Amino acid sequence: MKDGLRMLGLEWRLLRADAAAWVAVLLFAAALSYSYFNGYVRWGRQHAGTDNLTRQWEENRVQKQQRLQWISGAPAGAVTHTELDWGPRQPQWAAVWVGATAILPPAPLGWLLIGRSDVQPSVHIATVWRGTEPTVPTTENPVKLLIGPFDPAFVLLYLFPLLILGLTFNLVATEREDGTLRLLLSQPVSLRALLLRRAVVRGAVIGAAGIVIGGVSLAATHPVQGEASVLRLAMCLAGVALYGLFWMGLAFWVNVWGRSPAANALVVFGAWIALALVIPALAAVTSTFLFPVPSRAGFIDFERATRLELYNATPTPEEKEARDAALLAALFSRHPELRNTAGLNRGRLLNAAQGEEHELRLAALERQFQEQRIRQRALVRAFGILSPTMLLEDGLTALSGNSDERHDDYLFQAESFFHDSKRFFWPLIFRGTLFNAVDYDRIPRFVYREEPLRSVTARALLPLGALTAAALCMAAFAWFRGRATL
Amino acid sequence: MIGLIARREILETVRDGRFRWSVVALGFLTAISFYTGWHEYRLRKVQYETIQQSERQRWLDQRERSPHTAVHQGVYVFRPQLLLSSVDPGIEQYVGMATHAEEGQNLFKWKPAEDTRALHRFGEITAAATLQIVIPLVIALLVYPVFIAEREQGTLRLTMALGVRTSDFICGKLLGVLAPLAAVVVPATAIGAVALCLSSDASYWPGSVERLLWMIAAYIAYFGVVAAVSIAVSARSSSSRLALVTLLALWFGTTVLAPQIATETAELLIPTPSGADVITAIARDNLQQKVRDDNLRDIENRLLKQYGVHELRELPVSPVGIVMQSGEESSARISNYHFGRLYGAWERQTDFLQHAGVLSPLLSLQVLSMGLAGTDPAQHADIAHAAERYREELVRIMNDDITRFRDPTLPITTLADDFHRGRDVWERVPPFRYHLPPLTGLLERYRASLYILGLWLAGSAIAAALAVRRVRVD
Repeated sequence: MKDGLRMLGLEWRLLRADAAAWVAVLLFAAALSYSYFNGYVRWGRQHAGTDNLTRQWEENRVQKQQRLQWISGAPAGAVTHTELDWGPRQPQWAAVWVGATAILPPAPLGWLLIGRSDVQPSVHIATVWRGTEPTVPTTENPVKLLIGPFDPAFVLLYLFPLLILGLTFNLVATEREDGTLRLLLSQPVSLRALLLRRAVVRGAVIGAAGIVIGGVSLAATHPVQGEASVLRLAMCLAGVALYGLFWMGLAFWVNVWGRSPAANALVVFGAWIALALVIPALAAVTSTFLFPVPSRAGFIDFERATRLELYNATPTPEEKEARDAALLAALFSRHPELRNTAGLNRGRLLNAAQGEEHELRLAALERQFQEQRIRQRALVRAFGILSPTMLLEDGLTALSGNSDERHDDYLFQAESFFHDSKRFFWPLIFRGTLFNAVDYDRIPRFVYREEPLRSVTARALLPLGALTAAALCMAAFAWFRGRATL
Repeated sequence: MIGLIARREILETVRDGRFRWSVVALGFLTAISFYTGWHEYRLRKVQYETIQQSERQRWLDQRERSPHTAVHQGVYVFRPQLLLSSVDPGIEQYVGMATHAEEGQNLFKWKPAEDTRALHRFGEITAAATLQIVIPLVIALLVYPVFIAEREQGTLRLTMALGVRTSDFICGKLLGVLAPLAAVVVPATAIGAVALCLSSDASYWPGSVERLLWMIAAYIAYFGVVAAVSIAVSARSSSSRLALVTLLALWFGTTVLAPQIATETAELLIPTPSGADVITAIARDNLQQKVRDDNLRDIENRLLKQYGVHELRELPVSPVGIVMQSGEESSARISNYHFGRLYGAWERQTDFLQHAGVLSPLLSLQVLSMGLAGTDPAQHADIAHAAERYREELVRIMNDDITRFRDPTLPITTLADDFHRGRDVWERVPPFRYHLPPLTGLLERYRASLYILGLWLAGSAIAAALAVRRVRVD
């Protein structure tokens, strides 16, 4: 034990004298700090944007409510006819101006991995007659979107293995080349133990750099709040440690091969390119080639044709009547409670029927997009077996919250909210009921319910489990390969 | 002597496993990336054009109705697909594919990237990525041992002892290393370039061939920089390990890290207004505009005075059409101002990236390549402006028709119901047609990138020449 510690101390002194290694560690620390800063700033902006939109919606609601209060108490003639006929008293007007708005809050660990949150719309609206649609465009510079975010996940997925490989590709190769390794091994020390000590010292330095930077950053900004987020972060860190173990194992294995330093560098760098760049890129190409999503341009075309068919194209009055009757019959079959209710305005029922029919037809096409995206995701996950980078990315994506699944969950909740909103407004609109000021308090509000932690962890456990297996296999293989070399 | 050395080097290079693997990988990636680029381009082009035609037909086939209602139907305008986007798709995936030209300006919506899989964007296979990232890596891997390996093996001293001139030796070595690579890359590029030039799309987009030639020149300059830097490192390094690690670190730093850090820094220094900010500001400014009813009364009084009449029915024009056009122009001014701020921020960020090219030649090349391919933010802004001009013209023609032919006594509230027009009016709106801006303007816009790439080429060539002159024999 004492000898072991002394040998570790010796290795530490050797590493301390290696200026290039320290430059690499410092560069890594700087990159990690900068990426955290970027991720945190962007996450903060997302929070500010979400809060701002929610506040605006609330202020707008209160403003309309106050206007209605004023109208109710205003002397005759003070209110214009226009406002009386189409203003805060009409539920349909309220549905347009204080419409159903769904906002996806930033992901719990959105600062760690930005994922596709910068291209996916996170604010949707729906009126009582129309389906959901994104309402706030993403306006980031497309060049930035093309190049991708420089977030902590990027540093951990790509730079972290490079740092490990850079510090460990030449654990003994130079000594082997200049002949000092033979001398060293003539002492009571095995090659495997020597490699292990050197790997441990380097791993400890990398780990310490990560812990210091991560610890200081997290302590200064407190982005992790709540037990669920702590658990998510702990799982992320475990994944990163396993990822590091994999690359360390790979470097260990390459070192026991006994080739020159340049050959070692080529092999480990080639492995990094293959595992971190080529396989993910091939997975992307293959998934889009095998399961292409339908044409979005075709979707637009379909939407336009459907809209015109439902709202505009009426060659003769008879055909219009037949179309309207069919639309109403379909509406009543979906909402039987409306069929036998007296006193409902036919024109508004028809508006609802047109809107819902339009929404349903588009939903059928949108499902095809969704099904293809799910198939693509499944194939990409299958490719993960070939790449630890993909496994860790999959795990981090699930745990950070910026996953497609969370976005799908948001869209599902938004859809359900819009139906609630319709259920609130429709009876009032169909009956021609007028709003009171207090009704503005009853307008449904969207509150996103975060995915249950169990489903998030279950989704992350599969890739992280595979990563654990890969890391342990690589470490074990390298360890036994080291013995075989002896 | 140069030929002799080159022949020997070519033989060694071709026999080298690294070269064979590199060629296989490069050939595979190049074939896939060019094929997918071309395939995507053709697919998008055919789809967009077909749907653009359907939209045109839908516009013309409208039943008799109010021109104001026709404006609400509007026309979808799709991003034109430029020929060289097949080589460098640039931002194609990250900007909307179409905008709705109707009452009020809209941003381009439906980014193709919204429908793609969830993978980190780094490492996408495109022809531009292969040329910008993979080929420099192959060059570095082939060139790093040029001098150092000979010195480590002791053959450099032997060669020099034979009386071979240093310049002949260097030229022969470089020729030997780069000629096999060129034998793979040049025919592939030439075939691709000729195919692009001969395609019917080249004549559809005048200037495409010139843009392609500029693009080829820019890439050659970039490869020249990479080769020169690799030679300098190989000549100055004390061991092949150090040469390799230095070149790999340089490759990683300039091709992977630099673009990401530069774009993040550009966003920090020149923040783009958020989508919510833009939409809210436009809505706020539109609300602050005078309400339409008040405008109508003002305009009616002005027209009565202008035409010297006392009754609305005596007016030769409809005040409603004029007020609609006035509202449209105010609204267009507001949205143009806010969208202009957004595009302005993109432009300043692109300028920042151009100047950040002093840190990595790839940044200059990327910006230039996207610009020449027509897949850069400036080109998108130009297309958006063209679409907006088209929208404004469409609305103007409809409002003009209302002004000239609608009964001046009819109120604004019944505009959608009491004035119906037909196909002859719809036909007055021409189909959308986009004209590619001239190459000179483009080169002017990316002058900084051109200069910086030129400086890199000159600087790296000088560095390589100095390093080679001082190369140690032992």
